[in-house]
Amino acid sequence: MKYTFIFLFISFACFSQSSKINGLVLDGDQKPVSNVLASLLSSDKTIISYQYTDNDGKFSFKKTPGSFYVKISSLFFEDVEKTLDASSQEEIVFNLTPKKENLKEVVLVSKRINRDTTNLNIQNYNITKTESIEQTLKKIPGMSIDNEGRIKYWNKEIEKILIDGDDLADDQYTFISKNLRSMVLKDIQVLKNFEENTVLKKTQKSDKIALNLKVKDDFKNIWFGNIEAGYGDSFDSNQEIDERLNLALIKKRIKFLNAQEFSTLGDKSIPISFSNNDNETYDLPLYSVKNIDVPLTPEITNFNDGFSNTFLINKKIKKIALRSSNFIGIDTQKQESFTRTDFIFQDESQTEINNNKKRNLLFEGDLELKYDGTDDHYFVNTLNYKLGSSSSTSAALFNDSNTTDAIESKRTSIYNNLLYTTRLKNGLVLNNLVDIGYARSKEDITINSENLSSFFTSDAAIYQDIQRDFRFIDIQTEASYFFTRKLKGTFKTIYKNNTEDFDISLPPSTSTTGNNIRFKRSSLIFDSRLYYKISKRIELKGGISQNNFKLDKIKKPLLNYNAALLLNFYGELELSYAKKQEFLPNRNFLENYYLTNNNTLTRGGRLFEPLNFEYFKFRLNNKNKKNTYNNELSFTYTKSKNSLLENYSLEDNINFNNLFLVSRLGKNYTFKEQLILLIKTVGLKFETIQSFSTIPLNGTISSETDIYNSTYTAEFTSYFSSPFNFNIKAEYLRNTQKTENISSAFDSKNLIADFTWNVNKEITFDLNGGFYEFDNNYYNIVNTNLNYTPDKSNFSYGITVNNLLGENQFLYQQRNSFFTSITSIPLVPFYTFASVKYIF
Amino acid sequence: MKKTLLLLILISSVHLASSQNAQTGIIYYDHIDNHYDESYNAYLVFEPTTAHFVTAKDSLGLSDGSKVQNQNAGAELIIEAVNFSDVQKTRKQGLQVYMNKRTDSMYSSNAFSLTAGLLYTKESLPKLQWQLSNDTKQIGKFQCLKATTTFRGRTYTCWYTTQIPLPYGPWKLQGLPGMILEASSNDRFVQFIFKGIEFPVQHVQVPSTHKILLTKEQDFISFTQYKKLQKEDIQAYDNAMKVQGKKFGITVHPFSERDNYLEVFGDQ
Repeated sequence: MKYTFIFLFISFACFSQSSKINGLVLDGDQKPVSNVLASLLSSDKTIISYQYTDNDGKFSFKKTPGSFYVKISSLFFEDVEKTLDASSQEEIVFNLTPKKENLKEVVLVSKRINRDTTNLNIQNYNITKTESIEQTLKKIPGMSIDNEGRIKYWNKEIEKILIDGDDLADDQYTFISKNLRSMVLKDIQVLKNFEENTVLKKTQKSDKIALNLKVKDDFKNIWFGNIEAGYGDSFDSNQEIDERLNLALIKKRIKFLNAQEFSTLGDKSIPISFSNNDNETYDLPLYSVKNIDVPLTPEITNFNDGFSNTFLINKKIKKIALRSSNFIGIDTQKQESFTRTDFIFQDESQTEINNNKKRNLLFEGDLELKYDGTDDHYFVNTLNYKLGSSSSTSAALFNDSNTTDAIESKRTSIYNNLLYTTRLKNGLVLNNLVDIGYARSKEDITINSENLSSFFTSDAAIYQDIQRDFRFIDIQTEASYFFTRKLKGTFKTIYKNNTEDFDISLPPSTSTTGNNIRFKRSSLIFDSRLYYKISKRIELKGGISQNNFKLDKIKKPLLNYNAALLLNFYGELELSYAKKQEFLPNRNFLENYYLTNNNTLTRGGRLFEPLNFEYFKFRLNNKNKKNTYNNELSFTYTKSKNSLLENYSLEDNINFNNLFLVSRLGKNYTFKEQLILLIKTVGLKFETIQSFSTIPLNGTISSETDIYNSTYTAEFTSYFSSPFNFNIKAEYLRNTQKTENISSAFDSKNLIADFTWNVNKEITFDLNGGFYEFDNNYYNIVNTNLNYTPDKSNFSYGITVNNLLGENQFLYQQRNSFFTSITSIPLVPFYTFASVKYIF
Repeated sequence: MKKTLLLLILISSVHLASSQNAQTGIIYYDHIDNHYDESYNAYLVFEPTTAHFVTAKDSLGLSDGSKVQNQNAGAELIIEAVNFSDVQKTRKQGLQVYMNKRTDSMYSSNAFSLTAGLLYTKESLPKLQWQLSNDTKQIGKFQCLKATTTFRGRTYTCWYTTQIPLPYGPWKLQGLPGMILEASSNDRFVQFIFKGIEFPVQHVQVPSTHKILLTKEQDFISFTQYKKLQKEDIQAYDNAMKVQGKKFGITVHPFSERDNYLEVFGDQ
């Protein structure tokens, strides 16, 4: 027993001893040296293991086979290397002698050049044959893509996707990222400091970024895109079809994209665009079929068949890049409606059953020429054209009287925009714009109406021919200047000149019908803006604009100014004030009657005074550090000294609309309170908007309308990490109107809900619905949608069931100071729609 | 007697100073930060047992040559970036890492965003698991070897040289059998590129204690506390995005820790 114990003890001691290599490192004064490198080397001097000595100068290695040497190296001492003695178990002692090392080196970091371009090296990410660019980008760290396909790199959204340096789709880049296959690319580059304007690029650091796709040489002639087809049926044998084809071709000197779509599902193919450019008001027709604007999705109301084709092309010719987008759209609309209108000041009411058909054709596009700019000059020229025609017919029953109207209209417009940026010798950058355009439109209207015929004392049909011509030129120069690092000023000079001709003939001509008049306008505007960042918490902005305006022989200087103060102390506080003066569009100045729809005669007058209003706003926003609480309180007050009044009155079943300017005070007070709370995985929003307005009704008699609108909303959103999420919103709206002693009110309640279930990576299911209450009528509209996108396939499938509860009618209300009307429109009842999409 | 004493003191202090400086060296790096889209001049001062890394400091400036603008920028009219809310990316004190091998501790300062205040953290020297490889590369006069490690959520590829046998490197990367001259994270979030070395060096020193890092009446927080604060910062930002989504009726995506913070702690 004793011997076994000793034996074990000895063998244990031997075992522990022979498995380690211990060392001690000392300097010239026999003091231990800490933090020097001890390495265990193999016979060919490669490092097997390494350690740094501890505070006692000691190190310890496990004996590994193949270890030959122990080396001590240091920047401050001479290296010492000792051969390992396998049998020795003693601590190895190293005595170091100081070393005088001298290192001095400077490396030119040439690889830093062009850090504006980063290659993503997509080859490292296992690209599959059918994978789209969007799917590849999702694999790359730093890239994030949202539901609509918008791409961000390190939280910054990209401006465009270029293909081999050429811009094809402008900001509609998702078409490229969703359809082009990554397999055809050599690599994807991120371009930072992206600024196409070469003058601005030289003087400013841009934080914009873009992606550039480098196409593999053997794929420079590829076709790609997707095709989608769908078919649906409803119980009353109303069949719906939908078809989409997107196609693209990339060649070295020319690139193009084509998107074609045909759908009977209700989506309008001709977009309604509201341009900021006030030169585009010429585009709005004077006569129109009654417009129906319901807050429901087009698939439910479904009164449109649309066909559209968009064609984009980019071609490089020496130093000029040519880009063109062209669009053709054809919409065929059929809409029935029933309206009842009650006039407030007259004991009159009117019912109207409408059946409208409209065919709208639009062909428009632009042609852009960009010159390869230099540091001092950059220019872009864009030519826009629009050719449209529409024909519509409508049949209406007013009380008991039949009316039919037919409209043929054509419009042509062409305009050119030239942008020129230049850098002057002293460093100031000037941005210059020149716009020139011409538009012509023609509307031919034929109306068969008993009411109108008796007004015009004629037995025949009524004809109205409208012809309008519009020509304009705008020249603008803008410069920015930094007075100090915190104070910046922007100065703009604009010269505008336009002429608009109206020729409206409405036979038989009387002294009050028909208009033939020309309006000439010119403006010289000086606009200056200042931006002063006083401190981290205080910002001040202000602007003043002087417009020397002339209309025919009348000169009116118009002054606009605004100021805003932003304070950030206990929350964010904003105070702003603005004063605006502007002239009405020319169409309001037509002094004789013209028809604006099948039973309304409108006329304006010599309203040659500017609209004048002042606006004041207070806003306070408070939030907590965790951002779980966010409260916004705002109050705005608008005062108008001059406003446009549309005075409606009904006589012999015809609406007379007289426009005039009222120089009496109109006021509006709006109060808004919005509270957002985030509680764990749920978000709540409570909001109320209260608006009170006083609108003058008459220029001479003291007569006003008081309108009081209030809205209450509660919204509940889930942020579960589970595949199931929902959003529920409840709204209550109330509108009260009081004129003299007559008051009317209406309210409505809505509940809108949306449930999403991401069953797995390939299948998503969506159920959405709205429950609307209006005037004791209840409408329930529920839709469901199921989408299946198999992972490795080029196909994806979808099936939709709309209007599950078979609601066949919807009501909505319109009102103003003079009348209230309720319109009901038919809805497409329950129908199923299935679609298939293929990417190639 | 007095004179001799004075002379003795003078000689010994000079000797002390020179011997101290004979052990100090400095390496200059280019710190490329793809998160803030900026690149800074950074340096690492080292001594036998301590090292001090400084980056994003006002006085060092940005590495594309442009210094931080003064109040009245010179005679030339520079039309700068249009956005006034362009936040300055460098700070007066810079971001620092101080390593002490004798006490096995690391002190660092960091801020979660460009406008947030600095946080000073103390932790024990992280023990990185390195995979050494035989790949070599020449950086300046030095023959370098490659090593990779995964540290706090990111994989770093580093080039080190055994010709400078010290376990230091830029930022918190350390523990190799040689000085790290170049390092980058595989997803390109951050990169450090070698620009120059000087050893010995007279005009800089490693701070004698970690307290030099602190600016005001602040103190070092524990590493656990630091991780907790980062998690709270992420939650606050995520909430802010949800609030914006509710205000404007858009869907938001969860805020990514990986895309916004250098050290990724995950759901710890």
